[in-house]
Amino acid sequence: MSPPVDDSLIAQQRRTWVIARLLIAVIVVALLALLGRVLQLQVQPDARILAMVNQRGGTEQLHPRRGALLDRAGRELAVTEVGYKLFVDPGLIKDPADFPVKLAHAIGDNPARLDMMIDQRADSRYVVINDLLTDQQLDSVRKADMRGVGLELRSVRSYPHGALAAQVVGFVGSEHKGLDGLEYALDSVLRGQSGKLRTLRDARRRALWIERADYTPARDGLAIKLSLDLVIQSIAEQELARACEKFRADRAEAIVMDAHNGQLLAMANWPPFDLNNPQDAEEEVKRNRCVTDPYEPGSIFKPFIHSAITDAGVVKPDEKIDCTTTGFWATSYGRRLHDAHGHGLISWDEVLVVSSNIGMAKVAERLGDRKLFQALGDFGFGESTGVGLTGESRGIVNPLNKWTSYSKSSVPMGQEVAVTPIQLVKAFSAFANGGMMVSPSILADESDTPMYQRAISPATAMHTRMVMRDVVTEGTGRMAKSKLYQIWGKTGTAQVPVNGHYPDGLYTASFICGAPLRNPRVIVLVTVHRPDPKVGHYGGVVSAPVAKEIVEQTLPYLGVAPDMEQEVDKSRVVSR
Amino acid sequence: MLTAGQTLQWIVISLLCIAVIMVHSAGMSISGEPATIDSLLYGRPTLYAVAAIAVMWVLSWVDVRSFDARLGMWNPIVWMTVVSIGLCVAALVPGLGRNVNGASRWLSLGPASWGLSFQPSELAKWVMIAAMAWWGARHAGSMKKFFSGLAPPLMLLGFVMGLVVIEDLGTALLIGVVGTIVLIAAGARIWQFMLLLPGACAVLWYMIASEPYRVQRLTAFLDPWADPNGVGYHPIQSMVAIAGGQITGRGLGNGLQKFGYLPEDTTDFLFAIICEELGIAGACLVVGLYLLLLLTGLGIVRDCRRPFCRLLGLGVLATIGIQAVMNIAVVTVVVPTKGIALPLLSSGGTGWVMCAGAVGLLVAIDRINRLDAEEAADEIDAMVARPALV
Repeated sequence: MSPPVDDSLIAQQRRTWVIARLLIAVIVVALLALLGRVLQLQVQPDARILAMVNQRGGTEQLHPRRGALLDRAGRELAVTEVGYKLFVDPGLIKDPADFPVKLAHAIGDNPARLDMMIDQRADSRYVVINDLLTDQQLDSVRKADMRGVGLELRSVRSYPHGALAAQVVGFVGSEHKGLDGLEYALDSVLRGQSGKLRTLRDARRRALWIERADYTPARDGLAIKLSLDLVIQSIAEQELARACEKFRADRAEAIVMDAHNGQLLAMANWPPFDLNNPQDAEEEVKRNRCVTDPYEPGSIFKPFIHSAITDAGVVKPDEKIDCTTTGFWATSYGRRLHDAHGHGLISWDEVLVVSSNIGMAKVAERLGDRKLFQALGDFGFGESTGVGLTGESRGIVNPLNKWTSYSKSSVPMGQEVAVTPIQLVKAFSAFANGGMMVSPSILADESDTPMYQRAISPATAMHTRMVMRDVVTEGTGRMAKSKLYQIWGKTGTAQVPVNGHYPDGLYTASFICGAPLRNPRVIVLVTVHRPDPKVGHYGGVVSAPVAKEIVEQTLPYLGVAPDMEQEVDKSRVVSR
Repeated sequence: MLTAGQTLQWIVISLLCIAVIMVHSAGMSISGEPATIDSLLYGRPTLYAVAAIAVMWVLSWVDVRSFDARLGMWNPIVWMTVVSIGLCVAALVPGLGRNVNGASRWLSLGPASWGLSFQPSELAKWVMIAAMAWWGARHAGSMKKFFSGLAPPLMLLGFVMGLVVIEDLGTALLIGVVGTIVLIAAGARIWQFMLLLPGACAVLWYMIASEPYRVQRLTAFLDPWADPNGVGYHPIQSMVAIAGGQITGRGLGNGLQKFGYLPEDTTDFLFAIICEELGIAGACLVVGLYLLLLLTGLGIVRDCRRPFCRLLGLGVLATIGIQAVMNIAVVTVVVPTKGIALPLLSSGGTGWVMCAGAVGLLVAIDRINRLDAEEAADEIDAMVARPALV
């Protein structure tokens, strides 16, 4: 049976077909357009959408472990330990009376102290009880499993030797950023590179998984071996402390440097401070004044000028210089100079041995300002030593055009210039190395590649060294005379300038020396600031014994045979 | 070569397979059951999909011709209309209706422990198409006239919309739009609808303004960033899902937005998860299957000689097409958020079964088309064989 044929039905069929085609066409177009919209969202999403896509996970910073600072033998000066911090969330404590007792029992602390700490910050959710638990404490805290107690993984910069070499090592601040000393200077190497880890999380912050691309491991900082030797460092610090206490000094510095390769074996500052609690120390104390604070050196400056004058050939070593019998002499431009004693007619070498200001000034005049100024430059004064320690000062050397008529007599006796201990040590090394100064270095790696600079001729260097041996045997440095080693050096007793003049009773007592004599191994500088004049203030009295002690303890440690009885004992030395 | 009906069936099976897999993927959570092959094969979505395919197969054998042949209460369309209206009313009755997300759109099916429920508005949606088609087919001559032709079905339509709109504005609108399309296709004059338009707009406006959440959805659409953690949250999370997948997608199962970020991820916003995990390929696959379904269905409507079947087929296609467009438009934030499911994909047993069943009717129509064509060919053969007698 065929469907009934009716005009209205034929019209309806046509109409339905038109509507159907129209409708489907519209829907098809709409669906394709929506596909385009999907593509748009996928390819070029709104920046805010993109930001939300990328924040789906929790990104954690992975902290690198800071590199250790080691002494030349590999002993740890600064290390990063990983440990646990213990904190309490007072909001979770169930029994406030019992809690401190239990916790104190677990970590071996005082319950009353804990109770007070928790009570004072009861509104907080994070009260740190212990910054770093010992393994034993950690174990018992874990066993106790108390509600409200939290453990947080943290890395701790610790300084196993406390105050030893504190000013050199320096310390770190929050987030282990180096703030001072080598911690600051070597920060870029020690710091390492932090990594990143993005854990994708669900809406309730529960971890889902980690995409491969979301993990960048942290790269730990490198350990650095320093030139310092902790044994020598502690020798220097102990001797320095003993002297400072005896002479009631304000502060003091000592440097022990390897005479040949410039390796700094010890660099001591007194008073010390504990690196593990740097916040407790005053700012003044934390500076490594061996490099940061220049001072007027006084007479220990004389060897440099003496050798420069000798080197220039304007005087013969045995030429007699009239140093007056009164100890007073007025220059042509009317400056009055004086010595501690009237030395009379003495040789040029003796001028250094007795440390005569008059003799130095008289002969320096022959050299002239220009050459004198040049000599300062030759010895590296007014320049950085290249040691690379934080806050190094260049000292003060006036440019030639600022020199007055007084300068040519001031500079030879160590006034009108300011130098740092490290500069003195570097310059002094010229006498040990045939006239070549070696640049001091604090990194053990640099021992292979010392940097040399010529200051004076080899002959003059040797000659000045011998003269300085006389300073110790018969001059101002007699208290540095050792029964073991032939120490050669120079004393210095400088007045401390305050606002352009020199008040009474303020001195800087220094002694710089090398040892042994033939083949010098170390250079030692001891500078004691403002010793109590009632006890003693001469460099030869205050500092020379300290230097002698350091030399006598250091050289045997370094395996250097005593050279005092060398001639006598040669027959008794068993040859290997 | 597949017949149009077989093609439709394969499209539905494909869409349901995608649906089962994607609903399973979107349903993952940390605390929930781990997703395994077993949980995929024996899960509830699989059960629903099998049921939907079965219903489609059964309905494809129904003799659609008989629908408009019977009269009175014997006509299934009449009593289906009565039943669906009854169920819609029942869903509104407190105690009978099950409340989900603050809307009581569901009726519990069987004991509560089965967790089965049924959405009467889904049934009403499809029954209304049949009702409109039936009226349109029987009154082909009088559809131009308002009172005798258009008014009676319009009143029925309005009544059912009124019942559904209380809880579900989206479905009500869909019923209205599809019903209107069927009536216009049946011969109703467009200008007569235009006269009704201001009234309809006023009602729509009232419906939106009376429910604060509808107003919020509208403002959220206009500027989701005004309140990204409040009303703007949903559209933003949907866009984040699509953008996060980029062109290639994160890979099946690797989506992030389903872990608590995107609400309704297995239902109305499943398409966002498909885009996130399968990328543009997944979007193209889904949209392509819809396009194929619509064009195949259009071919069936074209070949159909029976007014009722033709109108019914058109209504089914219109419903599936409009729903797909609306859902994807909502998910891609082209239109304001509206609770409309993606046909055959969005999780929901009632939706899958009803929609697959409706496609089953299209398959049945295709079968009848071919029977009619054979009959017509036989008649012509017979006429050619005995021309002399005429």
